[in-house]
Amino acid sequence: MGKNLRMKAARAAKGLTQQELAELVGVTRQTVVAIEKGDYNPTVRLCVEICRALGTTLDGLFWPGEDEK
Amino acid sequence: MKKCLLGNDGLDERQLLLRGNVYKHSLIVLMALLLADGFLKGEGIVWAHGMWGNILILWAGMGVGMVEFILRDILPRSPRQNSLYIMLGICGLILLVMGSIHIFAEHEPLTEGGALNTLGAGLIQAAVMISICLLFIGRRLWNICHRDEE
Repeated sequence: MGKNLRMKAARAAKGLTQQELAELVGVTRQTVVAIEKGDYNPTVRLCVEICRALGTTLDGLFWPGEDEK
Repeated sequence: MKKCLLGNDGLDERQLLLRGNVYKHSLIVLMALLLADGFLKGEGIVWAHGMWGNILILWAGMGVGMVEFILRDILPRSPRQNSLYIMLGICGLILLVMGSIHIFAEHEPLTEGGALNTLGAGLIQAAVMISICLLFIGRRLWNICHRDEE
């Protein structure tokens, strides 16, 4: 599983730090770090919360692009 | 709007998953050491007197779990749980001081007949307890220093 650069970009675009996003979705900062690094595959529930917090869709953040398949 | 995906103990889904793995690792270590101990006893080799063999094996299993908890950052966030690690360090320090007094003042040996005696095993236990506490403090400091790192 590669790095989730789209999530990182979406978070940066919203002007949120990893800690702030973690607090918004109710997880620890280390979990946000692990998701962005591609070290952890989050549950759908957490994906939905992240999408809500970043104002984007599941497809936009987590669906693999052509180059990631 | 703060979501709450954390459990009652303040752990999120990734942490709960990792904790499950830690318990497995502890159990594997415990089983391997018990097997090794049983084998040694079967061969007539005594490496620790009395109950100390079993106590040290328990400490080894627990120690592996505690170290993994600390290194993987999956400790519960309640102050009560955190104070446990500090208490562990204080108890270890007391054991170490008491053991050192026995060694340096009364010149007691750490082994008897090639097997660890109460003093030797107690010192190993103290070393494990202090190491876990120091690792906990170090990890906390590391987390504080790297809090804003992306």
